[in-house]
Amino acid sequence: MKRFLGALAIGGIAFFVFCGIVEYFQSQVDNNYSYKYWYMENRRHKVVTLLLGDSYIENAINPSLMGEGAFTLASSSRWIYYDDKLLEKYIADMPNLKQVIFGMGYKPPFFKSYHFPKTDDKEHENNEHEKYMYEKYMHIRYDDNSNHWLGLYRGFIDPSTLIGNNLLCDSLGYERVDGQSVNWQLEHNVDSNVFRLEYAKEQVAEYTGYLKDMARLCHLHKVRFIVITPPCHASYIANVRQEGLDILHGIIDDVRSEYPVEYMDYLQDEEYRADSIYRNSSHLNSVGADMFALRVKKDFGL
Amino acid sequence: MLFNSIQFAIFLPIVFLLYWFVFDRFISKSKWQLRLQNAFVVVASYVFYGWWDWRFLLLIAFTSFCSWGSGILIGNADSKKKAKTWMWLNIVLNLGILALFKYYDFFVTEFAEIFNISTDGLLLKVILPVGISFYTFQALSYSIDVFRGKIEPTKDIVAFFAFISFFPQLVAGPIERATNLLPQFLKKREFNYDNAADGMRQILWGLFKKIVVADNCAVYVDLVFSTYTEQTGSTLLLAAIFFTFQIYGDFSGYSDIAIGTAKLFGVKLMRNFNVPYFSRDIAEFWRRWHISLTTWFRDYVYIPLGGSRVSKAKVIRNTFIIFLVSGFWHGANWTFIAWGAYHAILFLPLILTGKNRKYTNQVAEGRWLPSLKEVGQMLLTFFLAVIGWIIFRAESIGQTWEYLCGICNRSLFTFPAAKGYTALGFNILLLIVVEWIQRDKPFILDLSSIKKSYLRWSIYLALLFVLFAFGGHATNFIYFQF
Repeated sequence: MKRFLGALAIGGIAFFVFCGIVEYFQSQVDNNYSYKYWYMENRRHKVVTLLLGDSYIENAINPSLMGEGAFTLASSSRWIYYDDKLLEKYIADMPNLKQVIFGMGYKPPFFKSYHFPKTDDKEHENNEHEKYMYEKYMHIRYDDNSNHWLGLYRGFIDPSTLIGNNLLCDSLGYERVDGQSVNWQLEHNVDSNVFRLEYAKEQVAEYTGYLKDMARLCHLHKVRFIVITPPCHASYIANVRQEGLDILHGIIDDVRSEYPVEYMDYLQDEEYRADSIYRNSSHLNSVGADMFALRVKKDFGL
Repeated sequence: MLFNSIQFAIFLPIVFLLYWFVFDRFISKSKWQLRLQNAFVVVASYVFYGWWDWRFLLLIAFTSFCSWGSGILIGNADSKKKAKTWMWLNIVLNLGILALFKYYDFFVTEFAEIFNISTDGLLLKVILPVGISFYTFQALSYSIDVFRGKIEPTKDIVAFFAFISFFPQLVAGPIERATNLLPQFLKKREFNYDNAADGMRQILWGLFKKIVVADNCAVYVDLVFSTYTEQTGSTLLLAAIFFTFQIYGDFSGYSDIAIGTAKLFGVKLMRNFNVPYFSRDIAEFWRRWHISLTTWFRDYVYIPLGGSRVSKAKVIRNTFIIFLVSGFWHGANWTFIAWGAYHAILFLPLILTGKNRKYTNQVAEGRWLPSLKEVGQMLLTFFLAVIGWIIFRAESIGQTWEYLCGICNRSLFTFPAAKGYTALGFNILLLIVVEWIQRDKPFILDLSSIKKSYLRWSIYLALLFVLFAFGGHATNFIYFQF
């Protein structure tokens, strides 16, 4: 028995040492978060148009078509809290910044989200992953008690990063997605059953608060604050509810009552009906991203 | 409590330490030592099982008590006829409980549909107790074996309860025979380093199969099966192949963890899988897949019906009975029955021509690589198994048909939609390669031929890392539902 327990102990120690080495190597490999952080730390003075939001905007706009100085700081699965914190951190030191474009998808403000603990496990895990990535690579903690820097412990080590290939975005922060997913018409679709108005009240209030703060920061630094709702496929729109749209537009009205906001809702825009421009039901692919970038540029006179 | 959960990672070391250090060592001089240790096994097993739903405990306790009692009554019966009556009473009782929980609603629904009557108020809609089919069959084997005189009825109720509820194999097997497992609870277990180390190796490989292969396959399979009408033939085929590995990784992974865990407690369970996808025909596949269930049906259904030593017509009947019952054992759905019938049809030509025991050895025995003929045989058997798994996985016969039709069109020759699943492909390849190299070993991660301990440890660490890095979301084991 002593031999067995001894072997287990030695194996356990060896495993922890091994994990430490993996954790170290992982932290040395670039990814979208570390690159975007580096860019903002070192190149922010060049930015004229800053794109913020989650994957709805990260995949929807090709910044290279948005004119000189466009950069995508948007990132997949991001809760608006981090957009607000990033803007707060950098805006005062961005002399060339003319406009901030924030993508407000239909789902994030009021659906079962990755933000609140009263969500299902998968969504909650997404939330934990997000906290880890921002804490480790962008040095933004979720709150004072947040402790998310150990990736392996949380199961967030992406093995592909160990061969040095996790930087998926280009030099302007844009992650190009070609083609479509296996299950593209259903992936990321809105399940009308998960619509939770009881969550919405609390969550919309918080979402509005952060959006208002972003509008305030832009107003303070004389920067245009543009909010857009990117287009979605018909299979997604089929599940969109009018009361959801009312909430979405209500958020904008609420912010507008205090600060200037330019808003355009492209969710059901007829120009974006073709299947071939979607990666999945709610995310444009690279073809769609090129189209939409030019459209936003034109509509807002950038 | 799932094997791949944090609760079990805490539960197992606690039970292990209490089992060996408190109930084995500190009270070893007590005449009650064995009984106390068995009682501890029962308590730990009931905690493990009650983690799902404490109400299930009443059922398993009732089943255990009745089967134990029937054993005593069979043993004390003064005539063969009385003993037979007690045995049949226990069989009817156990199968009655199983039928009530598992099949009642199915039959009512089917009858209602045939006779066009409403099922209002007729359905029980009860939750199926986890692993009920497994422990029921284990309990049945006891009373049948007592009746047959293969085992003496035990008066030790605690040992018997431990035999029925032993937590490593309680919810998904292997379905142990009383002749193998019960005697192990009637004598003192000794800790053996080699056995325990083998157990840990088996657990590690089981976790790899479950967490890395099965759980990751599940994501793709669920996605494609839920949208099969929209997928190309090649994607459907790939999903079917992934399901073939998912169900193997899931179930054989569970069995490996169960057998490995039992070894930690000084208990030896039977082998449940023996590299089934390296089989050269369907008969060999069935000797290697879910061995404990296959041999159960062979010993308690097939042979009593006459087996293959009867007329051809009866051989056909017996083959169909055993495969249909085996299919139905998996659940109350026509798809399982169709799956059983499908395998019966594949098996029949072999048994009727006397070729069902042609391949009893390991493929390419003593060689590194198989011959071209063996590769062809294995691929054909694998392909037939894949078709079977489509029937098994589908929600209805109609869906099976549509799925198969979806495969058989021109889009089969396009590239499947599998973006983002490269790592899974590599892990499946790793599974195949390792199992091929180790196919003649008593268990896959038996590395006793590697003399350098640092090499063995490197493999363990690499596998542990793969578990952390490539592990999918923890999901339930498929066979719990059966």
